Amino acid sequence: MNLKPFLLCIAATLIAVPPAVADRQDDTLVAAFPREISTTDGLYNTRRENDILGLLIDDALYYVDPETQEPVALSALSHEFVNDTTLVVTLRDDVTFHDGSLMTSADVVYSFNHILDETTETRFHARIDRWLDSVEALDERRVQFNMKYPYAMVLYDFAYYTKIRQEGSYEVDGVTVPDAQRELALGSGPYRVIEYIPGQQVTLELYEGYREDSPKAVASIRNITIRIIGDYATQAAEVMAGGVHWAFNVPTDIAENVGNTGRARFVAGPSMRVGYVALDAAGRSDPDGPMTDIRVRRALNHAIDRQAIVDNIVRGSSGPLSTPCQPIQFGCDESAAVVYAYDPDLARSLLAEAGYADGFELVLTASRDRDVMEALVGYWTAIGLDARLDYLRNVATPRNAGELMAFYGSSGSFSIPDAGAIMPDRFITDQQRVYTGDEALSELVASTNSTYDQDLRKERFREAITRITDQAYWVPVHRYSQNFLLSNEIEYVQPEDGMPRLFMVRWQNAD
Amino acid sequence: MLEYILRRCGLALSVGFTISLVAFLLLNFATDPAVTMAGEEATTEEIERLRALYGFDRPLYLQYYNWLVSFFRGDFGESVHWRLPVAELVARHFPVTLLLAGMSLTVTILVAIPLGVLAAMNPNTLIDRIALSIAVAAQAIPNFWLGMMAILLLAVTWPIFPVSGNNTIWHFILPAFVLGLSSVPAIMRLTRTGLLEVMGTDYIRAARAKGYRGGALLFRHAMRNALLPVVSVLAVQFGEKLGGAIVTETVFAINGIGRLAVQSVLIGDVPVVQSLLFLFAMFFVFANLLADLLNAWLDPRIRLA
Repeated sequence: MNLKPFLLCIAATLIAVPPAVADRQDDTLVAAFPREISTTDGLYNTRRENDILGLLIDDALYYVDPETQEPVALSALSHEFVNDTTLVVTLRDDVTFHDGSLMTSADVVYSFNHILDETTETRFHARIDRWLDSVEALDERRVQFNMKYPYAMVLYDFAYYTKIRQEGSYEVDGVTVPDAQRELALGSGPYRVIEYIPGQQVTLELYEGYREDSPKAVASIRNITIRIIGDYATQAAEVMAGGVHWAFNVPTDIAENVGNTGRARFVAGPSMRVGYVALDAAGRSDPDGPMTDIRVRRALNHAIDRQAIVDNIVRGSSGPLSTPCQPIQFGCDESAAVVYAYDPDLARSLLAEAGYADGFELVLTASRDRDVMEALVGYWTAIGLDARLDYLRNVATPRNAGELMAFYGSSGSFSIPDAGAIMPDRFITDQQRVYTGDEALSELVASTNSTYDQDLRKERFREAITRITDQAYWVPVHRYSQNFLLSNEIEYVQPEDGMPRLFMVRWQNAD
Repeated sequence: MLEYILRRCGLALSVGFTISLVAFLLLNFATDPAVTMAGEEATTEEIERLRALYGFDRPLYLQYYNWLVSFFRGDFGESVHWRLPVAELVARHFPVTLLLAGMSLTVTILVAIPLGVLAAMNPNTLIDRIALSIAVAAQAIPNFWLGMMAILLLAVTWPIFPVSGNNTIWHFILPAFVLGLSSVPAIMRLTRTGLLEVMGTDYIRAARAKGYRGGALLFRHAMRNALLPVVSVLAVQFGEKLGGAIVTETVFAINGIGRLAVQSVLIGDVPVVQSLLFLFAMFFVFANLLADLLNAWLDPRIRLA
């Protein structure tokens, strides 16, 4: 049998197969996400992937301007404080949902009531319920928000913790169904969802009815396909092969190697996330434990070389941290912080002074960034402690039960450029995660968000930062880096707040 | 034959039952399912709510009984993460894995049997050594490495195939090659051994005496008997591929049940993990059963033994 024609036929077919290239001619941007998207409804998932998707699909009342980092009106036209706890928001009259219907105050009231209703299980209930008492429509365009106390972060919360849904969106046959918007969330943002394949991809299309004077009306690419590719090496290969244009959170070593090939660009962008070790100063795990001694806490701070961790492990655009917040946030004044220089000898003498010259057993509990955790354990071992890492899947349960002497935490503040997005959650003592036991500090931090006087807020943050760092309640470790792999076909500038805005991606040399 | 079939089916069922028990106990003893499902930032109240909602507060034997009964009714429970019935999730992902397993088995057959035949027809020669070396290499190379190399060479450097995904049949070629190659050694060696044994038998000598040579002797007379054990091993390999494509599906971002299993483990979706663990084991059990029955059907000596 002559196999030559058969083999030639196979070879010709293979050569004729077009490679899987994301086609600029189709005006389709392909982005890769490492984790799956369980829902297109941003009210039901708080992962960063859903934040990115939410900014494409939904327009909230307010939006954080990527240039100024200030909240600007989006679906709202304006707002007015009637008094410290009553806010009236006036809506624009030209905002439409993706089905063409006009957004009215009834939709806004319905959406906020949906979040306030605990039984609907939205992920933002606790956050909004903390300050919002009720919401009512004054007329077709005006909505009144009745707050429980003056709340300085209200516009940021509007921007990131709420979505406006059409009235009745979650009602199916008269019953509230939380999953009703899971597959094809009906929003009012610059892109609309046209296909959702769980675990595989989400396909979006530019919404033609989107108003041109929106702060988000910079979108120029017609279609966006978000593909779920869990393996970063595969993501990198896709970017190099032209199958993906935009990938984020790629590990630094992979991103650097791919960037060096010239087939894609590695961009280390800013991130709002900070990493820290919280110490049991309150003695919740052991009332007489070593962490209750300020000298021990200071020793732990002096023992680590933050710059070396940043240079050798985290890399990218990361940096050492000395504050209990991200220094680019409003109120996060680095000059107010007590800075602990890397000084192992001083750390040893502080331990000896505290009566721990022979060390003690230190257990660091963590659930992420294992390499950084190993480095911390190494530094603490070097000053004579019997340090070990307890790497758990879930730190929250023992943490909330008050069982830990030291645990690693991180916060991205939801990309909100205000220290009020991180410090109250970490230092107000009525929360299970707080291990300071410092009631005075708790009251001080609580007061930072309950006034609209920005100068006063700054002063209170400053005072709180000094107290937190002086008492060494934390070992602040580092600011994070956010690594992007970009195809040479696109232009993208990562905003300062670390929140990726995919609608800002443009084709290179696009008109 | 009927008695043999019943005996093997009974054995398969008891293995399945044992596996279900082990899978259930492993998940319950290795972790607290409610804590795992609740996630990193869950409050104590949220964990307790999930414990009550999914019945993790009931005695273990009762939980197991309810799960088993529901499972055999086709109710695999509901995914915590996807908020979908697990049966629906499996139904969405299984066809993708089935196609990948089928294509990879084809690769195995296309590579292993010719290599085995070549080795058997040229025993202890350079060809035999090369064939064996290929088989050993295929066995030694891990799937994730081979997968990445295949992507780098055939999708990035020479963009012939897509890098990842499962949108078209072309997306399956590289992963099928990678997954199929891992089964080559077993099939190749079995083909070689079987063929060498058959070639030394009386009926082959008789066929030679009648003037049969080359392809006619090989394909008409020798291969039919030599491939009997290969067929049953292929059935087992198919079962393995249905449940064992986890690495390949992850590297190539193929949305099959292997990748679903990985995602479910990472996010702590206990109902999905539990069901998939059991399903993977059952694929293997039924593939083994099929192999036994095939063997018995093809070779009467087995069912009489």
